[in-house]
Amino acid sequence: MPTKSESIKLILESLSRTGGVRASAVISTNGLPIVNNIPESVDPNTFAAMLASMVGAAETALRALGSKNALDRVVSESKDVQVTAVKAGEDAILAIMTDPAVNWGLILLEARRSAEQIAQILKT
Amino acid sequence: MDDPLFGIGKLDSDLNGLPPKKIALFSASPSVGNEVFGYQMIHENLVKGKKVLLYLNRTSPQSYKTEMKEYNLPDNGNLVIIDSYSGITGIQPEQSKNIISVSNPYDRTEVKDKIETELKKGYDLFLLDSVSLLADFFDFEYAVSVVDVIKAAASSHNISAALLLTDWGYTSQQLDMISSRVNVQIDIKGIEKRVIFGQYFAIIKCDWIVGRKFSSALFKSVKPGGIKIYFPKILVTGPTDAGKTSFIHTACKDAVSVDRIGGTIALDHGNLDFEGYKADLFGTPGQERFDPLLKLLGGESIGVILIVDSSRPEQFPRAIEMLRKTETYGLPVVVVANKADLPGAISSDEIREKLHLDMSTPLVQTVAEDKTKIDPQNPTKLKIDGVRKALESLFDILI
Repeated sequence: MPTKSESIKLILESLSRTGGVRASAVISTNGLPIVNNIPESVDPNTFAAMLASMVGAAETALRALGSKNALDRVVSESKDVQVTAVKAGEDAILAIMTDPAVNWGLILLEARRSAEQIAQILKT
Repeated sequence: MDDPLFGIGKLDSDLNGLPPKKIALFSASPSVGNEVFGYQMIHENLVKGKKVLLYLNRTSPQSYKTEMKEYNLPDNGNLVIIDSYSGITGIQPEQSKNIISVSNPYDRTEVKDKIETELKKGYDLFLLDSVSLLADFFDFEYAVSVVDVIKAAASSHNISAALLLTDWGYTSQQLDMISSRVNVQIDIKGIEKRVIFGQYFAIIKCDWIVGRKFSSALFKSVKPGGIKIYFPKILVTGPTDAGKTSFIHTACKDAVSVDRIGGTIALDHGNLDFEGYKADLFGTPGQERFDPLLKLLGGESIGVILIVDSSRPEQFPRAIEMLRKTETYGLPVVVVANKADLPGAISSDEIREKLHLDMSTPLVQTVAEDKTKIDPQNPTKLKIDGVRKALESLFDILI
């Protein structure tokens, strides 16, 4: 039986075959890297810490504005990089780095599907 | 002469090295490599001037040495290798005075003879990489009989020996046959608990240390560097302007901060590489308006560095409150009393009293490296000895 990290790695690999996806990572909501598929030039620890705090800050901000639902996603964009973070269950976040000129709807769909699978794996 | 060492701080301090005539087993699950433990041990003992012999059937001597170099644990030219790999693949074995090639690796007698003859020549340390390949190549009983040969030779020639084994699903009876023949067993496994994914090693048994409980340790094998004990998360917290960011930037050379005009607004993060330990430091903002983020930043921490400004005791209740808000109250903590040289700074005894610290909690004073260079826009460099002392104290509690 594959280990949890192997199963998650497979999900990230299939995600990377979606057009425009450059890298992806699963991190804990507390900012620790779990499994990643990111270029070697990127430090996974720093990336995880920063992204988790973005998601945490966004959740806090939405709640302060009166949102009664869970956070759906956090998106940050620049001219050359776009990062989409979605919650994968209570304890984890799936982050996907894409080209800005990407089929955004498809990415969202794939992100949501992968996040659900990851949440399942982490729960078992 | 001292006993051979493992080259890994925690193992050496727990076990006091590997005495002669003793045999160590590194038993790893397939998802986790054990070979770096071998590199580390070989390198450590070569640089200490020990004679080391390696029986190698996992890869060629050439690529073994290349790997060692990549971990920055190079062979200094004195490593003697019994090459039982080249013969299987048909590669021309490398000819050199330190390489003894097994001409027919399929010959059960030759393999044992080569080991026995070579060990007679006098070595301090013998390594076998790997037992599992012997078992797969011949059969498990044969691998056990080789261990017996090693055990006898180690005992009559005063040699320390280490065996590397990867558990490809052997039965527990088979594993017991090896396990019962060794003096110390170290298991190397993967951990996947909730969201902590990592690797750890644990001393399962040791027959020369009695009455001591061993703890397991998370580790990372890093290139270059080798095996480092790893702490995934250490929290650095404390009131506004106490010096949290300065501490992290002094301790880690590649720290990253999210800040605006001198104050941290989201977090600081740094990878710490310190005397064989690796840790990720997470720094919190100090201002009250960021309190909703504190729980997130504190989650999953295993130790805390609490930083206070020695000259502002009125902030101390806030320091305690931050431990509560990060939900780290009760974790191992080291208090850093920063700015100990500023006018109005109170003594460490007074700080202890005001923070209600008992004597078992370490308190370390730190000061700026150069007070004339303090720039409110940027993290201040602290004097390194204070920072080192704080980290040492925390690792002492954690290990």
